[in-house]
Amino acid sequence: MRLLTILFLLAASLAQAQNKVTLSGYIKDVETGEGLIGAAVYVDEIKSGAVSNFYGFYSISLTPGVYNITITYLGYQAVMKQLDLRANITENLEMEPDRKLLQAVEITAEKANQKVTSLETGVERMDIKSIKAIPQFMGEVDIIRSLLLLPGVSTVGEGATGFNVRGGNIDQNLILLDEATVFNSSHLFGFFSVFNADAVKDLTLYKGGVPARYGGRLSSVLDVRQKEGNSKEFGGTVGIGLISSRLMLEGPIIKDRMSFMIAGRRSYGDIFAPLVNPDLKGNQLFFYDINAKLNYKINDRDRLFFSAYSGADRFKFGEEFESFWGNTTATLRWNHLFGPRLFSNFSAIYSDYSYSLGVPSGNQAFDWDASIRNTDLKANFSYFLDPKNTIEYGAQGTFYRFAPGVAEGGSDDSFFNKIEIEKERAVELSAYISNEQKVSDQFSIMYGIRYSHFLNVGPRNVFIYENGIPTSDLAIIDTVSYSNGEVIADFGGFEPRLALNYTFSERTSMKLSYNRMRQYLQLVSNTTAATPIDVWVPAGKYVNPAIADQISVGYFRNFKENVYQASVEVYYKNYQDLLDYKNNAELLLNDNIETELLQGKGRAYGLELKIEKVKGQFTGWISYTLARTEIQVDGINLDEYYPSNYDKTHDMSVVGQYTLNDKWQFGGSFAYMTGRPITYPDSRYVYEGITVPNYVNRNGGRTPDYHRLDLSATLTSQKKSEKVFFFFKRPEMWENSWTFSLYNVYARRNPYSIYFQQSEDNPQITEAYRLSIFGSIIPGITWNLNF
Amino acid sequence: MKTYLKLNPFLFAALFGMGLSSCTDKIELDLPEGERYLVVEGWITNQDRPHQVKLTYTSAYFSDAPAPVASGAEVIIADDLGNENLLEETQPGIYTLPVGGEIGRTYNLRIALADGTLYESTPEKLLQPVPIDTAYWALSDDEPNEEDGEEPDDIYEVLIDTNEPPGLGDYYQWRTFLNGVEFREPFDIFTISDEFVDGNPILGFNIASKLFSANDTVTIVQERISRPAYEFLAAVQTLTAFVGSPFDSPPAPIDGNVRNLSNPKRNALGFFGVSATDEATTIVGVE
Repeated sequence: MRLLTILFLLAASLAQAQNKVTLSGYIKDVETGEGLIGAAVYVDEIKSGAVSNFYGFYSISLTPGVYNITITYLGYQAVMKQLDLRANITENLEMEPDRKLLQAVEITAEKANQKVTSLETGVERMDIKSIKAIPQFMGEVDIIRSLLLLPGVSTVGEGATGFNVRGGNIDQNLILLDEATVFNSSHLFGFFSVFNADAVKDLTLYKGGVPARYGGRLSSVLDVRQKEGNSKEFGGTVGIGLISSRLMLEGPIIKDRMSFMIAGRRSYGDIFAPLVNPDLKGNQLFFYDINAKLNYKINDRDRLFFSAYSGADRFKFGEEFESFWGNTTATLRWNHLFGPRLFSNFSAIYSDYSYSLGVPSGNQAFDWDASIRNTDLKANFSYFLDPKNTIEYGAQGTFYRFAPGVAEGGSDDSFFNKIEIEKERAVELSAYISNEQKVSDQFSIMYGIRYSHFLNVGPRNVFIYENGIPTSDLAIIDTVSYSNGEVIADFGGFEPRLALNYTFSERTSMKLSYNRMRQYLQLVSNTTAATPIDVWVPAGKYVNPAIADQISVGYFRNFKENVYQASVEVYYKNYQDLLDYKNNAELLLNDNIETELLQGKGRAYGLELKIEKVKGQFTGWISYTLARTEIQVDGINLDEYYPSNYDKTHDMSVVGQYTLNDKWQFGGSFAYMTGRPITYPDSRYVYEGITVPNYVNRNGGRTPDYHRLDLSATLTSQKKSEKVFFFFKRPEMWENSWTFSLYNVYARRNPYSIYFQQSEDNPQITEAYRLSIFGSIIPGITWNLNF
Repeated sequence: MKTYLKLNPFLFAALFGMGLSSCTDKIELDLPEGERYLVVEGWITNQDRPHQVKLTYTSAYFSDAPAPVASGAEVIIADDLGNENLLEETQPGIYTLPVGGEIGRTYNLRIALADGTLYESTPEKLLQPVPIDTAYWALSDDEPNEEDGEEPDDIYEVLIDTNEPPGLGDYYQWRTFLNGVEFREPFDIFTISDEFVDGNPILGFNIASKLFSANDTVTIVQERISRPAYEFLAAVQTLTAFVGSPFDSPPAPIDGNVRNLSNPKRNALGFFGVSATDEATTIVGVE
């Protein structure tokens, strides 16, 4: 690791170059001890400041003197301090959550113009508190469903896995849970996400202007951070809903030094469904999640975090079909301060996604298993050079093992052979450096570069095709064996990142960003919505990595003391080497999958508007996206550009939350979007008595428009309790709440798809059908207890 | 229920997991009619009986009329020895060859339409048939499914025993006839490749997935077909039976094997195939 050594040397040399004094420390929630991510530290005298990082750490270097600082964080009371800075000072700050929504406005509003002044474009931050205030499907608080209400984020349809960001396919989102990659973010095929809201602290979605520390996916980064666990006192949450029940416990192991958080949830649709329909008895279907985190503050310079997640979906229908899929991740992190100005983090990460499916018994029994496993080592350094420059650099190595599938007969009288698709191994190495520089009071710039290199390595047998082109398995002319670690194919390149901010006034700014991203593994799916068994294909001898360039420009303006925040952003994205598949391709358990793949180009562009009211009794936002995403692949749609499956011309959301009093809170959301592209038949023909639709124009038609209204009401009762509850000592405040929700209030049958079939009675008559995933209003009720 | 489950366990599972169900409505839609293509349907087998080639055209998707026929064409089946057999148009658009094919020969179809457009199919070889050892009936564990049109006395299933010859690259289609009438709806198409079963004895194989009652005469035809034929039939089934749910393949054109010699962008739809067949019959409930 020559690279790491160099980075260490650089770190050490920078740490010594101190000619200023440094104010640094952690910003925390006073009640729970959780680090606050993205809190602003503003120094009045220099009209500038710093923002706390993912661990709540901040650092500012200043010439010695007396300074007035203000710390602000949305939803917390601002903290103001006067400090006499003669030498390096460590100032750990604790902020108090703001329960009285109205009073705080005057104090915090003035400095709360971060959206305007920061370099971030296309970045959305949501904390769990605000997500919980949005009406939730069947009362199940869901992060990814809530993201869909933001501009530039959409989905193929109800119940589709994953989400699409600015015209990117679902595999172009880097989804991180405490830094570990999550390959499948959905439960029940997309109706729910794998993130248990009780275990999550904060999430950030980068739609553009992606910082240099992230790489490996083309379109977005969703960085989800789990709760660290209350370091002050024991507490927890119990939730009982229609879909699942949840329990979360957290508390100190050593007060203020070591704490834990553990959470679990399990769904139980399979328990109740047979009550409605007795035919369903004896079947099994549920999902579960377990989240855990342990954090240990060794001393002021060193902190350790261990986090883990395991979740899966499991189902079984009698002896006909059974399936399982799930993610498991584990992350060990070490924060170390080399000095007040050099913050570092080292991570070791393990992530596994696996699935199986099969027929449990009988002579047609079979079992099929597949997995992707990766281990990651990361080092990241933030050097707070002076108030004008923050340098970030680091390196990362990821080791992948793809096991696309082993299928074999499941019983002795089974007549299936064992089929094993050879495993693939790969290594992804990257290093990056970036600087965030405040050039003047008006102008700031972030420039960075990332270099990534991907090696597809043996042991593996690789087919050689006639003329080197994998047209069909019939074109195989030879097989080459690669030994352990031998490089089969490698790719690499630079990924420049740039962001500019010109602040006209405290209220107005203009931003520009550019980023290039490289993606070395892509998901190929020949179904409309991705399924849990879709295949991840790494770049290799016959598959190139995909590249995307994105440029975006934004105008940001706050009104009325920053209570109203508005933004307009436009983006243009250009894609190279997107993976697609041939018509009627067979992708599963295919040991020459390269013969079914095609690569093409794409373009996506759009306009995003958002206006948000962030404070007061009534909060919420309106967002609107006008967008286009098109793909061109030789061999598909007569080589012409066609709209992607997730191209939505108009996409609008209105979200509102109204706090009536301490007891009642109401929420509503309305979504409207253009229908998704779909292929309609040009004509029909008859073959052996079967009427076959003739599809020519890929995605030439559209389903009718989609719109939906959701409402919710939350009743919170607060009771002081003196009682002892199990092992918890006299909790100060118990809070229990009921949330009632209505999804699809006016029961619209939103079409998921339109499909064509011959009539059952007369094959000569052909008919069109509309499939609606939900055909009615869906109520939900959840009971929560916080202690 | 049973069919639905078999079709799409994923969608079913997702909704079932929430105690919900989806809904489907028939709708009216205006579709512009695309260009007209020739459609070829025909098989030649080793059975010594007349074989037919049907020539029709595509029509508007909602036309609800029989497919327009292509009459007055010159249709020839040629083999690899240079023999050419001119087919006789016995009914409008139906061209008949009075005999069967010969094992080991390679056949292709040549068409000259009345307007002079020339078409030719990719040659296919008539392979050695793989015999069905036996077809037999047994009492089924499944209950008759009334929604699928099964009657309460449909309590038997029909199974076959066969042996898949060693060596990858074999493709099969099975057809099931009840009292001489073939089941031929989209779901009834049954094709497999030997990828998962190569060289294995296949015993107690339930082809029809249907239930029968006593005295039904059930014939199973086992056809050894080419890989392009297998791919064509599989695609036809995908686009006609497995449609609509989020986990089905999006619609795509199906390539046939009859190309237009005059204009490569106007190839015919459909398939002219060659199959090596063997059949076995059982009378249900009769020992």
